[in-house]
Amino acid sequence: MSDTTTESTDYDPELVVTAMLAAARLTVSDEEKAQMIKDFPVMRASADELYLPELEFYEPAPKFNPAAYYPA
Amino acid sequence: MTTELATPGEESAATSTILTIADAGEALRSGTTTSVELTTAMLEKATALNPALGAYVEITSDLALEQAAAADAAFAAGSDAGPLQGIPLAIKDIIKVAGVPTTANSRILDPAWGGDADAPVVARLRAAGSVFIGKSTTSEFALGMPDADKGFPVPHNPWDVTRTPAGSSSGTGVATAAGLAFGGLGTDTGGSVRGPATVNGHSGLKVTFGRVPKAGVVPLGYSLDSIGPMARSAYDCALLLQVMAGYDAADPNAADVPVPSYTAGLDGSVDGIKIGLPIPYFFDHDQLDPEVRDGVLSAVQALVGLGATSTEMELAHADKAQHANALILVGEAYAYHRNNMVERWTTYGKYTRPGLVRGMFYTAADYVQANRFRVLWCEQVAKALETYDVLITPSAPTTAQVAADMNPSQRLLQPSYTGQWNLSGLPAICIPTGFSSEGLPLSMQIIGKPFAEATVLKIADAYQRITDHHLQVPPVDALITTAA
Repeated sequence: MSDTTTESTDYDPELVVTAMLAAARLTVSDEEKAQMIKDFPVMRASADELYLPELEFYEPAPKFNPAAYYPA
Repeated sequence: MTTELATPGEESAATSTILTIADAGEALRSGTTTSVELTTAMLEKATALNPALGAYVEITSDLALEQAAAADAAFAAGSDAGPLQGIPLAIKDIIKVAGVPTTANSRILDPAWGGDADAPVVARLRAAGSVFIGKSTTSEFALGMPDADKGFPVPHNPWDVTRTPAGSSSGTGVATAAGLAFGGLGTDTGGSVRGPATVNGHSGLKVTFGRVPKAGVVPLGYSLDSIGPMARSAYDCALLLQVMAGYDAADPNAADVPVPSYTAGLDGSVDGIKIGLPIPYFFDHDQLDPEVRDGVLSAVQALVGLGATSTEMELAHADKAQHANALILVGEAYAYHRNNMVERWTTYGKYTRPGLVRGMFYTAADYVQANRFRVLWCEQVAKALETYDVLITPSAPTTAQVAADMNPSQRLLQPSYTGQWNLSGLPAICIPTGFSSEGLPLSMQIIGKPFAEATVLKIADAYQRITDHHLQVPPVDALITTAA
């Protein structure tokens, strides 16, 4: 398995992952948990980058219709 | 299934040289062959090769031969339901076929899932006279990677069995490439029709969200899922889509939009077609294989030679669009699987668990934000498609990877060129552009406006009229010997 940890964080991924797994009531192996701890900062970064300033006035697309963006 | 099959290698010359649905249709109508002959040949080959290629979860020999005989009887009686009558197809095993278990390649799913009725799309294929060779392998719940521990067939790339056939519609992709079906059904939430088409060397169309009703399909990402045709040629994809497309109230996301003729415009002409080439990320990423890029650019040049124009342009945030699609996908998937994940964690495959659990690690706000970003992305792409008829990109950054080297975590760091079009709900077809120096298929992706499947098919078909990459057959005969 490749090491995916390339993100530096200001939190402890192990604490976060441990707490979230407990809250979700998921019982995973030590190996799986170790990989989740490595992956979590990458995932978190990919979500954080979506909080773009230019989205301030955007509403989400919970009901999605691709044609809605195109004039008839 | 107890049907007695002939020995592999006895396939008649008439059936072994037929590669496409269109050619098979001609042969059936000219009397050169029968559906029973075609079906028997494919059942023989599928049975002989399945241990080596893992294309099918279940080969439905009795059903197939019954359907083939009915098709031949209909032809004999002068009844013709159209181009799919008598054509052997593969159905991805997350799609309900009446009388056949649905496994989703998982020990979680009750095989009786979906009741005993066809999914609407399957019912349409059945009414059109198609023949169902079998239920084809899928990554577990259309998400994980092949996992031999769970007892399901492990699919292999027919061009090099050490390479991935990609997922999640692996079995339909392998079957189409290896001649174990003329094509069939896949589903696509982030690239699961297009990935297998890309690395197995055939054509695969992700349709506009809502174009094909997805009732009767085990869900993955509710707002992203689509059912698409997979076949050797774009023309064959058009023949399949003609039957598959159209509104059905059983799917709340089905679009009540008229279905045009998908073959009427397939005349080899692309004169005046304007192609946009989004360079950043799609053509200049440091993980993009130069052979893949060059194959796409050569194909674009060929289209320009036919009368199209191409222009380099930019789409900002393409990487974020891929991430947003992945985030929404796992969020929606985790919602579906949450209870089973809590109660039956290890019943899921070891490669499925790390993918699904990501939906738990993202927050509700992340999911909403991804859907806010989705609007920005859709607006941006729509703006681009005011100028261009289609966009063309590589289908994937690399050729088929070595299966043993792959893992779910690695995917987090790799670029991907398919999920952006699930996020925007647009049609996108992947077609072969040649072969790498290692003999592996290369591919390009053509993306169109909503419900403009006819346009992307037209361009793909025009390219395939002047090339034969899609007609190349992997060297599977040696595998038959090995398997026997």
